[in-house]
Amino acid sequence: MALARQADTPDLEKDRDPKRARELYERLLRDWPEHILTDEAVLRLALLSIQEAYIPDTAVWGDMWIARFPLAERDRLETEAARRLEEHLKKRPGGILAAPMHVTLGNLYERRGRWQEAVNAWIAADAAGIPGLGDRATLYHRIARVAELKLGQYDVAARWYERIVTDIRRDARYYVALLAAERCRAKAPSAPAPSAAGDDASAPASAGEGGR
Amino acid sequence: MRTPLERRGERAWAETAGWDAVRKRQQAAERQATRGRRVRNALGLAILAGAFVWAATHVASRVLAPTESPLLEGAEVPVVRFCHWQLEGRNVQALHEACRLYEKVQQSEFGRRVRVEQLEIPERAYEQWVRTQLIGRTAPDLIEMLGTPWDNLVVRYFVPITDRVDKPNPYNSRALDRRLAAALGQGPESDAREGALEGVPWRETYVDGMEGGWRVNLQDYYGMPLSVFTIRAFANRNLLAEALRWRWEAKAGAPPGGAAGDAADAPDFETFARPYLPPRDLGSFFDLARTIEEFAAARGRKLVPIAGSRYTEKMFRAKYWSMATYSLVDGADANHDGLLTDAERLRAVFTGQVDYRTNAPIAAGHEVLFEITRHFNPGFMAAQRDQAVFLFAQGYAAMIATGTWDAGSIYEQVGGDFDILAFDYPVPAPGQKYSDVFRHRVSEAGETAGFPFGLTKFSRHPDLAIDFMHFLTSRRVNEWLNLKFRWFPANREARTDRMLEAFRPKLDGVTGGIWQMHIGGDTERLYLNRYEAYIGRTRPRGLAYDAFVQEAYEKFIEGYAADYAAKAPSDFVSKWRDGYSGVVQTEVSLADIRGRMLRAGPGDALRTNYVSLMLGQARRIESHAIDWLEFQEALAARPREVQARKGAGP
Repeated sequence: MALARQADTPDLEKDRDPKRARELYERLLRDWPEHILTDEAVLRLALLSIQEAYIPDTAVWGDMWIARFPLAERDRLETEAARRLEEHLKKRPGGILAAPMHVTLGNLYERRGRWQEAVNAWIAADAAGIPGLGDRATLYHRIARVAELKLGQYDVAARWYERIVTDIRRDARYYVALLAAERCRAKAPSAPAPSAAGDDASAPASAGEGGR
Repeated sequence: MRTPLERRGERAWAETAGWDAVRKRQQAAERQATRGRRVRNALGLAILAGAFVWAATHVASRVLAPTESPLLEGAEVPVVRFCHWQLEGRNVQALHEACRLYEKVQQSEFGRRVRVEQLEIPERAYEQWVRTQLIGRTAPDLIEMLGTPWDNLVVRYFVPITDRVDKPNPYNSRALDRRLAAALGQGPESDAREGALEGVPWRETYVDGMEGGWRVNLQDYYGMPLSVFTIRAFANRNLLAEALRWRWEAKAGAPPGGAAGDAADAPDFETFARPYLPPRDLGSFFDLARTIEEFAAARGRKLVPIAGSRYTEKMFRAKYWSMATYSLVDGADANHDGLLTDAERLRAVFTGQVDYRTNAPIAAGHEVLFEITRHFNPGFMAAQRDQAVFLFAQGYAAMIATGTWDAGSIYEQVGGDFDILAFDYPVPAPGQKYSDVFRHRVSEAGETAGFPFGLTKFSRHPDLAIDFMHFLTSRRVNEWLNLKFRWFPANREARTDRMLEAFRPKLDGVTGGIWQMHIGGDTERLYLNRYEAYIGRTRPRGLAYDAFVQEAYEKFIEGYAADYAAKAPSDFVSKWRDGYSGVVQTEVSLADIRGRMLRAGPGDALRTNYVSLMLGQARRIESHAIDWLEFQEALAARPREVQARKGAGP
């Protein structure tokens, strides 16, 4: 892992060797499939694919960049990253880095317009345990926003906005979440009250303003 | 004085001509010049030696001087040193008293002798001084820290305190709390909050959950903050009342700016003045400013509505700009997190979703700031922060806006001369001008505690230094200290006096900092140049005010829109290339955690830290990649004529 990280350290651009990093991560997975660092190796491989998909070259810009790196290639790399994460999470659902892997997977789904799967992945990340308050607020906001704007699931959106209001009052998005929860409740008047939440996969379980 | 060439020429001519007098004069001049050089050199050496002797004596006197505390005279005691730049008001004196109290408590409660030294460093020299001390390994134990720009220093020279923040602060125990009360002379009366924080993790004793000590890029706690800060407006209540009474008497109770009414229907003065003390909305605020100007003109007094300076302008801009532009988050927020990145903003502008020349919230934000600065003192952009405070404290300005960190100075300078009214920035009431844009204040929910101290790696007594911070952040001492500072306490159970209640962070309001007009580098410089010229414009004679406002804005925004189109891409690329710096900073911590996990297995604390760091790294790597994609899409969406003019790239 240490050697792979050296080859993959992103700001040492001239010494960076993504190909070697990829080989080392894959070797770790092949030779020590049960090792505690396999979660990190899988996440790193997915991140390498994402970097390759979006930053294939920094020497050309605009139309030329878009023309040179067509959507199909980006698609292939994104699919590869998502597949790797899906397979690993199926094999080791309770792995030490399950939360960051679910977040990254949700982000990939979101960019591909697979909104419901994105929301489900982010909810799974919350269940796996996000330690930081700021990271949790961001995650809840994204779940709520996609549920509201892309899926029209106002009851789900309201519950996740309310989660920010009740659990993370010190986040800058607190009041915006409060207004959004009211807005969503008004659109979904028959939705169960927050206290009755927990009857389906999209219902958040309040963890309190606990810590990092 | 002759040049060497002239001297050489003279000498040669004298030799060839055999003119001795010239040669003698030449030699005398050279002797004199040599003597002069010797005297100057000797003088320089003397000054140097004098400075060295003075510096050595000064250092020796500090090292050898007997302690300030009579308890410790002649004793060999551990010393904790801390430095800060908060020299306003009574801060230095309050911290001095806290140090003496700590030494006394250590002696009486634990039977140990310690000494705490405060180093007060002026704000302008602070960063340079700290860097020198850190590099020279002579830094004090505790250093007041700056924010994100210090991440590189922090990771090299400071100690993370993450393993300590989940343990209770011993000074919050009921027994010690009671003894601290006695030491502070607070009497034996029972206090319902006494011991309320006993056994509570240190982190959770903070109003912000100690977020002010958390370094996002480093994913560790490093800071131990003491106080909470907000931005507020302060007004001279007596002066406002005097001007309002003048208006009330002159116009028989008509509202400021209004026409004279029928005296029989006029409200009594209290009813008339209530909406302005403090101003309840933006309309009242502007009315009040105009009243002050008219009052000053009528009475021939040197008086301005708002004490202005470059700093004061920033205080208004920080709030009103965020209020005006919050709505731009809708549509531009591609990843639905409720915040905007540079790439998201750039794309919104280049795709035409946000057109700088016609966008209503951007125009309203600038116009309100333009209107506010009309009521500043002339030449305010050349004035310093202290000069604005002085204007207000001396009664030459009716209002001022600043951070609550200036409150202590303001109250101290004003003394009993007049009553101070502290209030939050007014927003337009429904139906008033700009009310469709300025709907909410800016939420202060995300404001974290400030005045944070970090523990340096050079501390010879790290446990004692942390103990001193436990003492300062305990409920009893933090309350006492912040009452002296006139700041809002960081401890969640600490009491505040009535005056400080106005400084309590308000959670209701929109997210601040959503929109910035620039990316950094060139765009920032160009924007600020044009913006300062815009708010500093004077109305030409004969031009109607409304026409002047419109003309000034159009000139400013047209020019800047062109600047942005030309310079934003290169600014983005420069900033983007530095976007991975946080990842590298966390790499050392990650390697350490992996090693400890392999040796001892992943305990709860290690697991939490590992997940936090990996979440942070994954977020940075992903957003860095996506930012690049969004940037390309933004460039491709630029109008064809711009692309043709500027080429394909930035």
